Amino acid sequence: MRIVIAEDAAILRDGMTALLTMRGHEVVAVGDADALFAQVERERPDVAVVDIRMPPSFTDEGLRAALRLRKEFPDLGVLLFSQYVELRYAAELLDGLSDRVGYLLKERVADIDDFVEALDRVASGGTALDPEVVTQVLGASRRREALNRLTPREREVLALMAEGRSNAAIGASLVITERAVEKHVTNIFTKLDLPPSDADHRRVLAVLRYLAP
Amino acid sequence: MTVTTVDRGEHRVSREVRVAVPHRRAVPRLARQPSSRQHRRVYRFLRTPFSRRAWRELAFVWASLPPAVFGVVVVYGMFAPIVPPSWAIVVWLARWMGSVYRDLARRLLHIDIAPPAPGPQPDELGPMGWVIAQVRDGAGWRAAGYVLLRLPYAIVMVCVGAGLWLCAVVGIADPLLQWLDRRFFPSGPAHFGVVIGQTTLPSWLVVPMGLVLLFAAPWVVHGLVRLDIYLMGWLLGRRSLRERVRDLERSRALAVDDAAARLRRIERDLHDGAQARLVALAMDLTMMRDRLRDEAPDLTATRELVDAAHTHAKAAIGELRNLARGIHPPVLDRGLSEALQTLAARSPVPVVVTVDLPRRPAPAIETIAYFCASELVTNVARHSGARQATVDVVERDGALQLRVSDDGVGGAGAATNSGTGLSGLADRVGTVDGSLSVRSPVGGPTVVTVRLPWYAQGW
Repeated sequence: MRIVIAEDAAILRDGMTALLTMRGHEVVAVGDADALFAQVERERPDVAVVDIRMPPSFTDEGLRAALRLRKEFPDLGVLLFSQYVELRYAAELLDGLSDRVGYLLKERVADIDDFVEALDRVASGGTALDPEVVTQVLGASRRREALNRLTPREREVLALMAEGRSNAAIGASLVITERAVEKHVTNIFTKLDLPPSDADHRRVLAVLRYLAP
Repeated sequence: MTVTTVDRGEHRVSREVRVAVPHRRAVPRLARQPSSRQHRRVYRFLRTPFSRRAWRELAFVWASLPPAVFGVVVVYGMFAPIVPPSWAIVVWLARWMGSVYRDLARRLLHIDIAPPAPGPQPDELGPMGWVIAQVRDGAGWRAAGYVLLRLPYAIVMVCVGAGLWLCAVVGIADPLLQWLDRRFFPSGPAHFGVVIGQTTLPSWLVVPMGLVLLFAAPWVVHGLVRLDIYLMGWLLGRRSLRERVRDLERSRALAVDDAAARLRRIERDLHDGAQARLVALAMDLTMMRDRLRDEAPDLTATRELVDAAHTHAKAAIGELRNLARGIHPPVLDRGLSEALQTLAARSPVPVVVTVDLPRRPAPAIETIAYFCASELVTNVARHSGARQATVDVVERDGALQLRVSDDGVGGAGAATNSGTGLSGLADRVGTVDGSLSVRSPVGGPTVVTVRLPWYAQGW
């Protein structure tokens, strides 16, 4: 994969560059939003990893850059990368389009396999939401009653689905067959009265819309 | 000495006039023996005309004449037309003149008169808002009254006070004058000398009169100056409950902002520091695990990763420790003295710490005092080029006084208003009604004095 990283903290930038290069990816790292645009323009990477807080104001430059990137480069995967989960940011980032987008906590780079898998997913048109985002969405949801109708296993599947994972990935993660996952998914959609959707990322949006407070 | 009024109700209204402790050096050690009490009194009386205070007060009388003239001529003369905009200018200028008088009193008499709270903020933008704000400024109007009153009073002070001194000198010098008279004008009417009607009074009468005046003049001047100080306290000091409320509103706003800024800084430090380092550490461990998964791991590269991980872990620990100390230095639990000694030990510039407090202040006050000292000592090391600094903490006039001085290049006073650490400190001290003053002439030395109440809730 060709990756551009925009991160102002040098230790993280260098660490991620080393880590992803070791995994055989092409990595370019920059420190602010302007440099990010320049690199995306030149390198045309598969995916951009963007820190939310960047100079000059260290508030939400990264989010604004990510939104602009999504608009100007529809083929580019954008992964927002942050020390905290802020649901409002996630909502703004998704805003009706759940393909080629992700929002992960920085600490997820420690699980490099998961992290690279998430990057892959975003680059190839999918969604990668941090489990923390999903937990918060579930926690804030008004659909408590409906959710209570789900079995614990179904709730696990729902959470993984909301993260943007495919049935195969969910199966691998829960150590069950893909067939079993499909059955759970069908049950969930029936119980919550959701229209079934084919693509994983559209399913994310459906679930999030359903859960939205 | 502090002149403090405390009313017994809910509110504490305080401090109009604060008088610095007079110089003890005025009385030499010899005269302090208990057996010579009478002597001492006589001695003190005899040296009154030659005391520092007398000369300071005389200097004050003269020095305040030009501003008095200037005040009335400029403040009233130029802006007298009876329309509100010119009132506003009068009030604004009078406020400024007030600060000139307070400054004179501080420099010449060592008497601090707390300035009134800042005037009301303009409600609307533009010149009209400013005019309205000035016209609503009660303290400004009081200052305008003082400026008007001050000219006749200055004339009285100069005529009576300085006049008495002059009479005294002339009286004592009478023999000399008479001698001069005889020497240069052997004939004709007298040119020098004290004359009543047509008679030149004899020296044996005039000299004692001069001596009496010499001892009376300082007391008369003293009385006149005291009256002026009283007037200043009344018209140029802070007074009304409304002003006090405005003060409190301001200090509360400062406290809230200060707390928010501190939390933000802590969050930023965590975010950029320890948190980032821990993520980096986790990444190192991940890479290590990846390497060790290989059939034949590259041990050199792995060792490098272990070293990097170790460095990151240590850095994270160090940053967390610094952060925790920044939130509350643990050594402060054992008292200000010990905390300041620790602080001094860490300073690159030698610092002598003296703490002499009758009792422990409230924890919040100790914390603020500690952070002030910390910031000021850091400033000394960073900007002053000093070779030596002192930190003194004493009780003075019922308040805690922290004084940090150094023998460096000075010039720190100008920076007070330019958003430097000093103005931040002043804000922080303001949250508990304390005050911070800087004396730092170019060329040094620099003395920063912080006054804090014993308790955070007021004086």
